[in-house]
Amino acid sequence: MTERIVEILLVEDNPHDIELTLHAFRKHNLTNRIHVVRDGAEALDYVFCSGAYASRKKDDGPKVILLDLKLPKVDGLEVLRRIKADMTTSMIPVVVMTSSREERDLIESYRLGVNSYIVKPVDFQQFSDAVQQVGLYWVLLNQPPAAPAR
Amino acid sequence: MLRARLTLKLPVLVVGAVLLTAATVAVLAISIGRGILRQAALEELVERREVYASAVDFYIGGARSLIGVTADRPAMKEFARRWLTPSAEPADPTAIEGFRRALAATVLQHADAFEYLMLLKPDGTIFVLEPARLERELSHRNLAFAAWHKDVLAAPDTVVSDLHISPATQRPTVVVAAPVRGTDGVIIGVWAGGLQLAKLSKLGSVDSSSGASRAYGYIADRHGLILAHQSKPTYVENQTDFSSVPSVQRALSGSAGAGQFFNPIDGEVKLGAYRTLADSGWAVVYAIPLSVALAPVNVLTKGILLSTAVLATLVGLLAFVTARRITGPIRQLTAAARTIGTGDVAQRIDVRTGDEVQTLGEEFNRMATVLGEKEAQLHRRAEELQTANRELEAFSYSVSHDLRAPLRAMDGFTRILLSEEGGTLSPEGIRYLGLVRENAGYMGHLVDGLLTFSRLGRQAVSRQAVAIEEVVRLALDELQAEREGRHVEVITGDLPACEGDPGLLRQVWVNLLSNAFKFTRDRDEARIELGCQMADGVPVYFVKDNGIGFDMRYVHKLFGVFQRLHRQEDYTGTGVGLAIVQRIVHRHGGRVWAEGKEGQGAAFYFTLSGGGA
Repeated sequence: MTERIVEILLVEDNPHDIELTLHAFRKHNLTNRIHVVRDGAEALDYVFCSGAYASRKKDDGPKVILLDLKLPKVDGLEVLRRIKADMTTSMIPVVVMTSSREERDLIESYRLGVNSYIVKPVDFQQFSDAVQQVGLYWVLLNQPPAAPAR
Repeated sequence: MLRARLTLKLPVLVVGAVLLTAATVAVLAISIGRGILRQAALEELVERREVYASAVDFYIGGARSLIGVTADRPAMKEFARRWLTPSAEPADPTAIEGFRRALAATVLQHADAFEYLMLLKPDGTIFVLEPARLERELSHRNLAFAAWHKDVLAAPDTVVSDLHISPATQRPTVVVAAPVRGTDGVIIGVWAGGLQLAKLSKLGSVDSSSGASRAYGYIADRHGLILAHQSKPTYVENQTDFSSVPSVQRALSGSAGAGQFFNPIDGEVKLGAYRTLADSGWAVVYAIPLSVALAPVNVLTKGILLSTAVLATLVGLLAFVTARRITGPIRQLTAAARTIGTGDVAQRIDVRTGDEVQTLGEEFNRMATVLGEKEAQLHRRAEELQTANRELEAFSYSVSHDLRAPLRAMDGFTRILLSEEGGTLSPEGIRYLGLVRENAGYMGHLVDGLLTFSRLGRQAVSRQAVAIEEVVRLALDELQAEREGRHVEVITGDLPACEGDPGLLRQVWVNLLSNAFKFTRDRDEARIELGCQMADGVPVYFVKDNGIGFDMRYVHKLFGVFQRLHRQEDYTGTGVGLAIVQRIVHRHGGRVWAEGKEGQGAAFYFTLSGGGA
């Protein structure tokens, strides 16, 4: 049953970025623990168990959220704000993924309480550094690190 | 705030002019008036002196005549011969009584000029004193010591004494005396009368309370003692000495005239006419206080002052009203200009004075209209600019996210292809994939450069003291990798601090030094010189190298975006480095320029505020 628990929620609209990210994670056999949503609205439905995800239980995770900032419908910063504003979800670590180092995105994300920050393309090394930073490394990976972090 | 000076200046000026004119007229009028009045007063005083002198002459002459005539009466002579001669018998009271009745009492009865009469023996002994009530004290007193007694013995007829205290009345008096002669002409007695000086003072006396004319006459004896004074009879009783009064002095010295004198007795300046009375040698003076004589001038002065005050007030009021009418529109203009100054360009003014001020007002309105149009234009421009800025910002945000996504895909999938399917590819295929990745990376750099460049146009430039030496040290540290394994001589000259944005200035130095390192790559003895020189009082920073340099014909392309003077395969770069340098320098209000020669190095100069070479 542990296989059914979603550990990572990937919020990303670009299919190529999704594929590259999943490819990076595949090597570490994490892909079956990843759920992908394609826009901000879907992400909120998933996290707050509403809409298409009304039957889901909040207890089933996710343990960490990978959030792109530029999203259709509801943008990433708004999603971040809603998650961090809700008592039941504010404890979920959120790692923001971004295309550039636009300073205002960075500042705004940290202001809203982001836990970590990754510049795309997301390779596994960057991801594991970020996960280590949010303190979920062992819980999430459930295996010793392939290579020691620099 | 319009200063009220103009409103005050005009009235003050006009009132000043009026007052000045009035003052001149007043001084002239008063001085002429005084001259005329004084002359008239002096002439009148001379006339009155003459009349007064005549009256005194008449009075004294009358007294002398009375004494002279009675001294010559047969009864007088008979009585003197009978009773006054040294050989005479003792006086018979009946005879004396008869003498009194016939002569002494009769004279007193008919001439009130005399206070008393007396008959003296030639030796000066008083024989008869009328009225008799005085006689008890003075009987047989000898008056031989008196000057007049000596005079009368030497004189042919009557004499008049100077002022003295009468032994008979103990009051100041003047004695008129005549010798009584026997048939042989020998003096057998002296007949004398003491004048009622109070009567003499009353002669033509003025009522000092009326004050209509305060001119008065007085008489001083040969020693200057007052014996008659129309205005102040007490001077007589006090035997006041007028010998120090100039008019009296002149009269006593024998001259006659009129003039202005200071009277030390009462401390007043007088106009006085004086002369000597020929008969007695006394001084007669007719005087008037100068202030009284010139009193009409005071009326004139008052009149002038009053009319001047009225005139000045009226003229000042008129000038004030006029000035207000002039400054009113100016105030309006000032208020309007102030309103416009606060940004309300809709302000207009309405001046209808039909003069230069109205022209000014019209020009002002025109100016306000133009100003309003210009402001509206400016406002539109600002809005356009703001819109453009917002669009640009949105654009560059999109660019930074969306332009990268395809590059990421190209790079990512190529990498996966290389790592996972690399074995099935020919070496040529692997090289091609490498080129794809390289170009995707280069495109990424171009996007970064473009974003940096566009961000510089929007970013606020802070102004603070910047230690350029420190900035340069940081820049050199940052570029350490580019020097790795090379021999580069970096000569750092004097680098004064300046004002500017520390982050942006670091970017300038990084870009310039990076270029210097890059273009000296092929030199065995690479040399980079940086420092600062003063030009027209402005510091000019520079970076010089002995690298490959450039052709001065293309210097204008040097600072353009994506402009490159070298082939990509020779020297890598995006072509935005110098464009960024130029933009930062311009944002600081400075200038940047370059000098170079192909194959011989390049020099870049920049200033951070206006000026420079």
